[in-house]
Amino acid sequence: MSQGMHLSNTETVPGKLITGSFGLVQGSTVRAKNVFKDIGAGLKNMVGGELKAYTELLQEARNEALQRMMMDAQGRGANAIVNVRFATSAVAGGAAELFAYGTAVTVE
Amino acid sequence: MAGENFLFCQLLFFSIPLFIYLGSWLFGNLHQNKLLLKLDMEEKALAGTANPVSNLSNPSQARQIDSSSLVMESISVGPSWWQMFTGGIKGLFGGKIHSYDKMLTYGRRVVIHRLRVQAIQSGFDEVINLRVETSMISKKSKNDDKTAAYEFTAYGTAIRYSASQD
Repeated sequence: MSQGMHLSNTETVPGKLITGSFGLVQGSTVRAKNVFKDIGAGLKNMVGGELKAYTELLQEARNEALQRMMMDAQGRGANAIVNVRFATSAVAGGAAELFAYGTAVTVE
Repeated sequence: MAGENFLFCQLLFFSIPLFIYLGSWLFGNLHQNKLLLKLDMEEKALAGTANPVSNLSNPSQARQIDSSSLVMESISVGPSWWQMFTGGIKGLFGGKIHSYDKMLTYGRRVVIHRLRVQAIQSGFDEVINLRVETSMISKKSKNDDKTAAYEFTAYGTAIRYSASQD
């Protein structure tokens, strides 16, 4: 994805051999919705369908969480993260927490 | 004359929510049917081609793998006010709630479809270990039930096999 870091959500990096493990790495971010976007989305809710403002916001946030997780792994000297999982939870006040976690490993 | 006017105003005032919900029902149905039709057409356009997406945990072919990467897609969808209203009433009695179905199935289909398109466009042969996650994005407060959104995320590991046959 970036900086030559291999990411995968399977137990191994396909086609590569794992040579070392560095334990769990994680990254998280909390994002709140902008008031104007909130009102816009509320109105869009009248007809239902895709709420583009939220889609973009959460995509950005998820990328940020991934970046933080990769920084953590890089700090430990790993070059791959396996078994990546995402979790989203709604925390108070219209904010959402995006959380990414995985196991940092080195591959040959 | 003044009394009649007052009555008329009151009637108008109380019929505003009715009109809003009727509008939500009409325009919501039109808009959602349009979205579903568009998705149907997009899926049909891909019908003949290979479907590389699966939730197996291992690659399906025993060939040499060139590269792999994490791919993901997400979408936020919400039901219309009318659907929330009818869903709320149905919720009192329990049983099947059809009104939420439409947008939930739409969201899930759309992310998987977009992931497939993304994998094909970036030249991957296969996407394995697909996961689809659903989460509800919170309302601002208890009595603000005008905004409801669900987020669907699909992610998996995309694989590109090496060109040489071995």
